[in-house]
Amino acid sequence: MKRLALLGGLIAAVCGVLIFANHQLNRAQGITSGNTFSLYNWGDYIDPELITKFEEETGYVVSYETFDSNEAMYTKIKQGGTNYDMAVPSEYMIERMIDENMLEELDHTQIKGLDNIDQQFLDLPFDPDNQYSIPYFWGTLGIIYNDKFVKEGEIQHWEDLWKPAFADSVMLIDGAREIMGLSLNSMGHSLNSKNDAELAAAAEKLDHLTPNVKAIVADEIKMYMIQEESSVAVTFSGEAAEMLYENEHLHYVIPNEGTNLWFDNIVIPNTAKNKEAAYAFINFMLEPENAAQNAEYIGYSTPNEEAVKLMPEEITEDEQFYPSDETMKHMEVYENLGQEYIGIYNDYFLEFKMHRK
Amino acid sequence: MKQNKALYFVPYTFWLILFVIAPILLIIYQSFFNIHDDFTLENYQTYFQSGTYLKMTLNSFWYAFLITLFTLLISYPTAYLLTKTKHKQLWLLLIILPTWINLLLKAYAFIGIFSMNGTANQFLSFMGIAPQQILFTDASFLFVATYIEIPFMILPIYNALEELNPSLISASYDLGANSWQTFRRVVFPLSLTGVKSGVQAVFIPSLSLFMLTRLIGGNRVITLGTAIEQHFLVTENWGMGSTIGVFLIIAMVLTMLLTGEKKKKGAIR
Amino acid sequence: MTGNAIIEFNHVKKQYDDNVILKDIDLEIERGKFYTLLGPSGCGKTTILNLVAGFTEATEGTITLNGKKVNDIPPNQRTVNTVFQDYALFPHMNVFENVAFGLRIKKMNKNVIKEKVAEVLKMVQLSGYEERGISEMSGGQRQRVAIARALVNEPDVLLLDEPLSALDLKLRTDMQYELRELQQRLGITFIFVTHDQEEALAMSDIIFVMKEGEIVQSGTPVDIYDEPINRYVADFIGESNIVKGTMIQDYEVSFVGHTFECVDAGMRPNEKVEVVLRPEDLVLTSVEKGKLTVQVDTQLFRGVHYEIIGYDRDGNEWMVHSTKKAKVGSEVGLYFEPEDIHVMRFGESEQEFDARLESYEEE
Repeated sequence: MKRLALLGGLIAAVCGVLIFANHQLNRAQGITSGNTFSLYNWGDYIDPELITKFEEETGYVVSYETFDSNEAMYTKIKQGGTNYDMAVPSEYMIERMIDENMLEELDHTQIKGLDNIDQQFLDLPFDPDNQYSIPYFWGTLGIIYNDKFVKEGEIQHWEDLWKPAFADSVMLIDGAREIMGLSLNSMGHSLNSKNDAELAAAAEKLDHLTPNVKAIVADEIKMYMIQEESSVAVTFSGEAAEMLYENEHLHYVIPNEGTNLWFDNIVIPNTAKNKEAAYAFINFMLEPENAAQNAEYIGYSTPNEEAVKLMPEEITEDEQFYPSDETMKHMEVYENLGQEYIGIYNDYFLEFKMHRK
Repeated sequence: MKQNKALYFVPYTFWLILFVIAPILLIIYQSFFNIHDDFTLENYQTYFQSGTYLKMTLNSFWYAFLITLFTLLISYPTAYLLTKTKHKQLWLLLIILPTWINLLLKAYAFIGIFSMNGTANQFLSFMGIAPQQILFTDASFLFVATYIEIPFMILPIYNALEELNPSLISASYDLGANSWQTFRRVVFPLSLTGVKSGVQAVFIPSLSLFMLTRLIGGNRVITLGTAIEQHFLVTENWGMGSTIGVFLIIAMVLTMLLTGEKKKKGAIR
Repeated sequence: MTGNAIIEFNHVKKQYDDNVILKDIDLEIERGKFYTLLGPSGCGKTTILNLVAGFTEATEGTITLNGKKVNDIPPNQRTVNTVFQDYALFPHMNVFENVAFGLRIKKMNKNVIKEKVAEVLKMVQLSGYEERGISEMSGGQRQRVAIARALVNEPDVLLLDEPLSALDLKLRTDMQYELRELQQRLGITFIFVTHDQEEALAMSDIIFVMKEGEIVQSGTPVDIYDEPINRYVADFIGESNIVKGTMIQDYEVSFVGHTFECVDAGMRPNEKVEVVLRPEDLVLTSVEKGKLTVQVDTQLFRGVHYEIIGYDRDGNEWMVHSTKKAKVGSEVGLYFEPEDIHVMRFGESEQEFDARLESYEEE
């Protein structure tokens, strides 16, 4: 009996420790006292010097937590138990969080410098009138190639990916929206299409891409392109910026017939404790010098047009990251298609993955 | 006294219910809901009608079968030789050692070896052969998966062979059998328990491998695990994910039944 | 060398690294007899068996089987079969398959196999058990299966490695009879290994008593019992009273202060010797009629006889097996005949012993 009680006690103790540890972990992530500002952001997505500068200017102590996917961030905040004062989700996730009442409506009277932002990055469908979010960085989906294997100009459009010359040499990002989207775009359709015939055609067209596909991978694309494992890859501009920095043979192309325009915007979750600090941070990041410094450090495109003016021309004149208005015109932001169409996109994508050469 | 003994099963049963039975029931329950939260058999219908999922299931079985086969082909002789070596414990430790290393780290190590500029291709070019595409092929996927699963196959086989009464082998020789006959008629049949548990330990996890399918297979190899991951993390269609999970569980139960211990009577020839 | 020898060991040595298991063994096994290798564990008796079976190789010397040197012949090509101590029955096969194993290896016709297995199972009284699994058999039955499995191959020699040690007393005695009977009926040479002297005495034609890798004495059970070559053998085989004595002259030995007539000879006058008197040869009598006087210390009833321990005036312990009761504490006389006295010389080898016996028995 004694041993039995011991065993029972042990199981209870294990459960107890797990619950306690979980509680502690949750508390640790997003601890706030009056003076602390808790920022929940992607890994390595702000110049650390700016955090120091912000702390010096405002007197807040910044607690910096990172996430590696929108879904992870969403789940964490949704679960509760956290009190991040600020997060930086992508646009489709912002739309979803607005739908689910997870975000604080912004008080625009407390925000200074919103007019520094380029008009074309404001008042977008996912957040009309920027009631809930302020643009942080933006970017595109495009093609990166290595000039050792691919001549300049050989790839300019999505259609070029299908060229027989690239047999078994294209790496794709592992995302249903992205890959279905590029196929839709290549046929002149919207990447937010909910037209079943268009989707079926796009999926059909993807099957013909199979002989050219070397692999469908995620973050590893960066490593593979730098190591020259593959000559062509479809990836996001942000990732591309890092690859270009590491390997001078790499070039990034934005197909001008249309592609995805994405945003990472600053939001204040409902659960925030220190909203004052959050507004202070928004205003801090809207200041052109700070935005410029951050953009130079991270390598992504800043939506702050006053900041762009402060940055070196070699960066801002680069069509790869600051494309012409003509190109911009054809870009689309992902809309929330609803669970049903997300399912359809994913099923097509799964079929494409399973399609063998 | 008897009641007292039954009480000892309470914590064990409690544990089982909490961490095995309950999750399985939850998965089954979940599988009856579509994305609109209706109670329906829709997911099962999709599974059987789409073709994609059936093909994926077949794919999973095929790759799991290949991985298990290769693992077995390598592990059996290794385990057999191992029982004959002098420093068994040391060799065993060396074989177990890699299992302490994270799967992802091992996968990345293989990326380093198999990539275009990797060790393998450097060796090939040293031999005067042009670099080959090694990563993202079936061969590399099977190679790495087999490599990772080998310890889980060697250990049970090794244990079965170690437990084998050496006088049975002497008896076989004594009765006129040569080495091969002894192996075929005595050693192998008696190590089958080890082979079976090895097959279980390799086949079942291989059915749902998904990290390797992306990292080494470049998503050119799709298993049920990939689909489950996608349904839970991307489309958030937990119902469909659970449905695939249910089939995975069924597959596992079948494997267990097929390789499980049967009470045997009568002759085995 | 007799023409009837089936196995011969010629200066056979066996050692692992520096560990000598067998020192220079010479032995000869004749066709059709029941041999027993007797000795405590570690004396090398099982090693001899393994050398015959071929499970281990001799370090030096030659082993012949049927007149042919077999040092390099693997076990599966030797015409000997073994009954293992743990029986070594194949657990994944039923009784029939176990017994048929050797025949299947020889690729015999299925019907012949059936016939032979049935025959041998009948011989070991296991007819009808063909389909049983090994785990369903009792210890005694397994023993018989093991014997049947070996015998079905019609070996020249059957090796038995302590096959009865796992059985209980009653079953062991029964099996002793059966084995002896079987051997006599089949006429196959048996080499039986045991550490149980009773077993050895009961079953064997010839016993080899072994000690630390050497054969100390060999002979029929009666020879060895009656004329142990030294204290080791006397102690190992049966119960003995062993006292120090002096050989006054041929046929006269003195011990515990008296001189007795005996039947031993061929030693130096006044040579220091050891004297053996078996407990069952000592007859309880009155102090006056006894050749020796002892005071009874303890008495145990052993069923067939009383085991009485007494001490003489010099403090020597005497064990007596008697059907008569004695009174504990009382003084009793012990009577024995001259031929009950057996004199052993120190350090005499078997050859010397045999030679000495021959020398005075011929006279």
